[in-house]
Amino acid sequence: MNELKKFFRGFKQGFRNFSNVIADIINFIFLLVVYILGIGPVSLIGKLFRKHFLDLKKGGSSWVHRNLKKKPIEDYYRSF
Amino acid sequence: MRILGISCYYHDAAACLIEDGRIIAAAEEERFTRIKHDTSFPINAINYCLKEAGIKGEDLDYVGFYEKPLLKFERLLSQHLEMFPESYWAFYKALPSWINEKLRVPGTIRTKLDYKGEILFIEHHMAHAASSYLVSPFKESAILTVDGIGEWATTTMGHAKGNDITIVKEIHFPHSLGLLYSTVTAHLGFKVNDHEYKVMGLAPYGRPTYYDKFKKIIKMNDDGSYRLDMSYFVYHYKLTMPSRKFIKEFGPIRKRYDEIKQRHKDIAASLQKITEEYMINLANHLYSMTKMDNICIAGGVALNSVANGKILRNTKFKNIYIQAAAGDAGTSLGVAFYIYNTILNKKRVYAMDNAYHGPGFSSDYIRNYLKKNNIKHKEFKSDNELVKETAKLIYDNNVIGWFQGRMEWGPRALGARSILSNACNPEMRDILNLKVKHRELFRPFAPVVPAEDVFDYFDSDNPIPMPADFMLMVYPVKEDKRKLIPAVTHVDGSGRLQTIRKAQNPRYYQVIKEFEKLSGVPILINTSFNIRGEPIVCTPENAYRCMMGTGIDYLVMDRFLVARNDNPRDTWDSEKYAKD
Repeated sequence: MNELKKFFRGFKQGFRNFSNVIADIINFIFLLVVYILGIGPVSLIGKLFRKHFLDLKKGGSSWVHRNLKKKPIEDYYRSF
Repeated sequence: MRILGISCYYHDAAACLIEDGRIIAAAEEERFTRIKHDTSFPINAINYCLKEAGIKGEDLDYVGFYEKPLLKFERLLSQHLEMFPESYWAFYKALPSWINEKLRVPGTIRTKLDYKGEILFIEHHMAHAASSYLVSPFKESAILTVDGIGEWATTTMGHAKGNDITIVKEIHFPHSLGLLYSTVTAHLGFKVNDHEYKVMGLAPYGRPTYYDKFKKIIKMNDDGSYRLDMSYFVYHYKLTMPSRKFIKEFGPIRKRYDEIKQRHKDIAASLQKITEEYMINLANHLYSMTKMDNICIAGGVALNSVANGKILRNTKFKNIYIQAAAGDAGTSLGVAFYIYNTILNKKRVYAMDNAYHGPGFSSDYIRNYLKKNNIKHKEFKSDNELVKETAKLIYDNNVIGWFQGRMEWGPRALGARSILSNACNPEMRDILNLKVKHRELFRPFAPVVPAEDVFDYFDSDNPIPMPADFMLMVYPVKEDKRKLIPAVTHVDGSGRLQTIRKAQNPRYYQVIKEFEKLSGVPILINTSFNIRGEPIVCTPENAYRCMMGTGIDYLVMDRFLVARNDNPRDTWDSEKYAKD
């Protein structure tokens, strides 16, 4: 009986590992498609129009003026 | 009015509950899960806070979150849009956690807390600013926040008066003093977002021979801002931090268990020098902008106690305040106070002058625990007897686990979950390392000193700033006193002291005073009560387990004394299971 339990436990664990591998592969392919078809075109169009999404230049001031103060409470309900 | 602040999903998840503008409870999730710097949703810390207040999630008036997740997500997408196609691996690794948890914060909070009220999202650096200013004793102050990264901001400057905080300007990702420090931490073979303090401890062993190279990497502008040369970094599109160019300039990345060579020490010294210089420059610029006497600092870089100790001496600010949990954990406290004081405009009634806001355990609980587990112990009849015997044991060079009252808030052990020992014994550092800590030999141990005695032993600012109570300031030990306290004097003659006042923790204070009667010196070693690689102990169970797995000789838990040698059956070797 114990041997049988041990076998099924091992089988379950092996199956879980297998499903994790499958999930990783699907994730990899799915996210690759999203990356190439979603991020890729926007990035290329941005580069075509010399749009920079990050400030990577080497010189100049890096201050961004905000003057961030208290806002109406409803503004804080948003996560953006 | 009860407000819960939450921070999580990056590092140091934490929760803080305030009621009518005063802290009821605050704790980091790691102390409950026993996973260092745990990032997960802090359900254990939240449950503890609610239990401490005797309420349920549905009884909360507001819940605040420490950042605006969608703004952060926008920054993440911007990184990938800019760095396409090189950033795929980072995209693949990051996106699942965003989809599964980081973009689902409101749902998670409502489900796990059974909470139906409003959830407020406060920008990360505003939460940092609030975490320092709103619990400071100041009515107005300049504010500087410096950390790795928030949504976009990495450094901000602002000011506050009364209940209102204004962030005037900020420096955005990827330019980050905190991420520069983390990059060097990674390059020196230490763990990012964890071992930055080791780099700070290593710095005094080196000479700043790489200073000029760092000056090429980080450029200071006349307007007080700084800018990184991003060709030295890859953290904006990879999971690693230094680029090939960085490695070419500073040599190969050290592997974690490789020997630490002079080159590594020199890099650490140069980085520390640059960090201090830039922090002082930022503070000076902030002063010229605000002309205020007080400065509040927050963010991960505010845990750099060596830089903190130099701020007042090198700027025109007269007073400084840094809250005990200056890093990301502290933002949970920041959002709670920001909602109460600033958004709801309720009067400020609280200044944080001690850090004892975590779980505490009654004498009955501890007695029952000891009896139930057949742990041999002695119960002191009076505090006087307890402090005298503890001081004598320390004087006799025993290592004491000190478990008293409510656990500390923040990363430092401040006399509630501490290991105490004799600072006058020159061999104590080696004894502690051999018996308990098993840590790198270059790392110093910290002294605790009564606030009224600090000027006898340290060249500190006068009056001693409150952040010293939270072990956030490093000062030189007076030259003629260095031989008296060799175990806590670092190689450069400095000490990362904790000052203690009687009202904060009377029992702890009395032990130091009793030790002074025996040794003539009112200073002890105070180091964190933990097993290597684990968080500081939280419960009596953690404390006893830690003592029996290390070489701690005695455990003083509330008014109970447990001797290691009386309980040999529970001995185990924590080193076999050390996690770092």
